[in-house]
Amino acid sequence: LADVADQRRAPEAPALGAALRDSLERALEGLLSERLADECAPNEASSFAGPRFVARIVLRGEGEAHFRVSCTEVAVQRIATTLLCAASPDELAAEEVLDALGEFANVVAGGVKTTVFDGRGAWQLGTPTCAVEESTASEAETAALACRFGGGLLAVGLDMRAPLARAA
Amino acid sequence: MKKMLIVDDSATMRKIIMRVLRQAEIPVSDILEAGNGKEGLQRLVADPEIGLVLSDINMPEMNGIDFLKAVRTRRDKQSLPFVMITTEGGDTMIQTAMESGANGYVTKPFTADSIRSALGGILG
Repeated sequence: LADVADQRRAPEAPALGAALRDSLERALEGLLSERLADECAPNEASSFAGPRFVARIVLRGEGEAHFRVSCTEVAVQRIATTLLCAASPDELAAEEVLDALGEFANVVAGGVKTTVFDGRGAWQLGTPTCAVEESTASEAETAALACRFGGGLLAVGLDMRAPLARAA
Repeated sequence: MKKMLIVDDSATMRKIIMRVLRQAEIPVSDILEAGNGKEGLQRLVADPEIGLVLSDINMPEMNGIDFLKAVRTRRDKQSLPFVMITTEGGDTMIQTAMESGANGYVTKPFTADSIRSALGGILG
C-alpha cells in the first residue's frame, strides 16, 4: 500500500496535471466551443449531488494508467446535446449520451497520451467504458481537475499505476 | 464525387465527422458507416464504389492500423484514398499510419479547415 501511495505522489504529477488541463481545454474548445473556467477545489467537487456519468479509459504500456472523465447529469447532457446537435436532452437515448461522453473522454485522453506518454515507451490507448455510477466518492489519483460546467460538474483524473519512464 | 466510408466505434464521432464534412463542403455522393475495422473491411469488399475511407485508430475487434494494412493487401485497394482521423497525435503513431499506407492524418478535435486541408489534395 505504501508503494502505491508513493507512486500516486509521483514526481510527474505536476506534468500530468498540466497535460490534463491542456487536453481538457483543447477538447472543450474543439468539440464544444466552450472554455475551461470556474475550477473547483477537490473538496468542493464532492458537494455536487446525484449520480456520476463516468467514462474510463486504460492506457497500457510500461505499466498502466487509468483515465477518467466524470460528470453530473446536467454536465453530461450539455456535452451530448452539443456534440450531437440536439435541441434538448429529451431527444437523446441514454446510450447516445454515454457514447458522446465516451468520445469526449477519448479526445481528452488522446491529448494526454500524446503530450505525456508518447516518447516514454510504447503506450496504447484503450477504448472508453462508460457507466452511470451512484457513488460520488472522490478517487485517489495522481492528477485531477474539476470544474463547473453546464450548471453541473465536470472532472477528469489520471491514476498512474507505475511511475512514468523518462522521456526518450 | 466519391462514395465515402467512415469507420469509428463511436456513433457520436461518425455524426460529428459527417457534420464537419458538410461544413467543409467536401463533395461526396454517399456516406457509409462502420463501427470497427472488421466491419469496415466487409463494407469495402461488398461495395467497390467506395472511393475514400476515413478511419479512427483505436477501435475494438480490428483497429485502424490493422484495417489499413488489410486494405492495402488487396490488389484493387492499394491506391484507395485512406485518411486516419484519431485522437492519437504523436509522431510515432502518425509515422506508423503513413508507413502502413495512409494518405492523410487528422487529429481530433478537428475543424472544417483541417478536414478540408487533409482531403483537398486527395479529392483534387
